[in-house]
Amino acid sequence: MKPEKVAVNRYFKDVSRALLCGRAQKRAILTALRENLEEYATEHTDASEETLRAVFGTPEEIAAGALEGEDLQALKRKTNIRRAVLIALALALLIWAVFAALSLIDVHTEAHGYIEEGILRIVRLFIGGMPA
Amino acid sequence: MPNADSFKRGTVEIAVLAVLREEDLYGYQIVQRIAEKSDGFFTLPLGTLYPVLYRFVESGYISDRDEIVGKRLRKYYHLEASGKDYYAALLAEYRKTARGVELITRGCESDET
Repeated sequence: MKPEKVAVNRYFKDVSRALLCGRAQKRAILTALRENLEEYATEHTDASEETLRAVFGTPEEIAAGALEGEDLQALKRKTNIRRAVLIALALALLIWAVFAALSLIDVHTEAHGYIEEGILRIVRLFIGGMPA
Repeated sequence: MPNADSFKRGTVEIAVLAVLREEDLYGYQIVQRIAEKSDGFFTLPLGTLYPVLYRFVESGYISDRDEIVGKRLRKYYHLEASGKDYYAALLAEYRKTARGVELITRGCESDET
C-alpha cells in the first residue's frame, strides 16, 4: 500500500477512536473527513501522519469540537446503558458456557466414559431436547 | 499563549457563518477564506470544521448540496435565513462580550496608574 494511504488509514482510525459523540454526528464527521483525506492524499503523495494532523487537526481537537455540541448528560446515559447491555450479554454468555460445560460432563458420565455414546447423547440433547 | 485556543474556538462559529454570508463554499474553501480574511490569524484545521458544520446543518442554519467537481463529489454549504439571524445574534453577543472585557481591563489598568 502507498505510504500516503497508510498514513491516511492510520490517521482516520485514530480520529474514529477519539470521537465520543453521538452515532449520527460521528458518521457525518468521518464521512466528510474520509472524502477530504482521500482528495488530499491524491494531491499530496508525500502526505505523512504529521502533515495530516497539521492540516486536518489532531484527533483530540476534532473530538473536542464534536463534544461541544453534545448534550453530555444524554451521552453519559447512552454510554452507561451500552456498558450495562455489554455486561449483561457477557454474563449470559458465561452462564451458558458453564451450563454447557456441566452438561458435557454430565453426558460423558452417563455414557460411562464412552466417547461415541457421549457424542450421540449430545446430538440427541440438541436436536431432541433430552438425552435418550 | 495561554487560553488563546479557547478564545479562538469560541469565535469559530462566527467566522464560519461570516464567510458563508458572502457565498456558498465547500469545507476547504471555508478554511481558506477564514485564513485570508483574518490575515492568517485564524488557521482552522479542516477536521475541526466538520463538527461545526454538522451542528449548523442539524439546526437548519445552513444547508448542504453535493456537486460533482471533476471526478469528485464536493459538498457545498449555503447559509439559510435562520443562519443569518443566528449570525446576527452571535455577533451582537460577541461585541457585548468584547466591550465588557475592554471595560474591565481598561478599568483595572487605570486603577494601577
